[in-house]
Amino acid sequence: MIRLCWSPDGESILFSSRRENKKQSEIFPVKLDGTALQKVATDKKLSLVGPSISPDGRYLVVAAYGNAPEASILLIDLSNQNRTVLAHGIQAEPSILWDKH
Amino acid sequence: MNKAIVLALFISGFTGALPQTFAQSDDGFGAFGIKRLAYVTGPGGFFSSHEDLWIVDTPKSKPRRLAEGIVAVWSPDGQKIAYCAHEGWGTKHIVFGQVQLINADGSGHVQLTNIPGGACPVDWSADGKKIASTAGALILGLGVAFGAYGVRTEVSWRSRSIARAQNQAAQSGLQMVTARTRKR
Repeated sequence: MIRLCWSPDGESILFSSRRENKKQSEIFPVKLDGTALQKVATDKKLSLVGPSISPDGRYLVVAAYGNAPEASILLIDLSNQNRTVLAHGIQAEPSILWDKH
Repeated sequence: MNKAIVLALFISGFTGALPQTFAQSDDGFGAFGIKRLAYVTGPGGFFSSHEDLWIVDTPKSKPRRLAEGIVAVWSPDGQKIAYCAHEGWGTKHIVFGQVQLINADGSGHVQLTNIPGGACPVDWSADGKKIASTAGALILGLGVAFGAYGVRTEVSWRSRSIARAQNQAAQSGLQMVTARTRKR
């Protein structure tokens, strides 16, 4: 299951893709006219898929796959790229409900 | 090499363990503005006998198994989850998933669709009164493969089963919305 998400401003869509001959998937935004923007999350060893971004645009939650079929849920603070593990052992993208209040 | 190190390396290689530089959250998901978190897991990946839907309330709390299924989508108020449940995982008689609805506490399960080819939830409307879902993806493929007869059959099946799904959803106070994926 490939999950996309809207950017908080509704101007772009975030998705995961493998580009530039890399083995790992990274998270890219694309504008609605198809213009690609600068990638927002990458890792040297882990594939990042299933993005979900917080309403304020600060946090990005992804599933991070290593060598095993199971993944971990990572929260990335886009202001400083700090990462926090929210859960281990998933097999699909996490389902996040952001608090919009 | 020390047996403990060998074991650790084996486990790390087997599980694809994450680099230890990642912090483990201790503050609860609310610190990040996350209201609800669910995920899917199972003992053996896509060929396992089942896949389970779990809810985890805080990083340190024990995950709660909610149901057997995949593709969980939270209702806007965080009180319900729409998800997709297959039958016959790991057998030759797999039945493609149908949209299910369950309360976050595990009560009130109801199957919303019974569409040939399966259906999976995609998203809720902002007011929590509608669920958008896929419908009959496999049948669409068969329709193309078997030509006009298959297409007509598929359209007939889809129309009747989507109507049934809409009636079922209405009994749960919801409106089922389906989108056509091709021109007729």
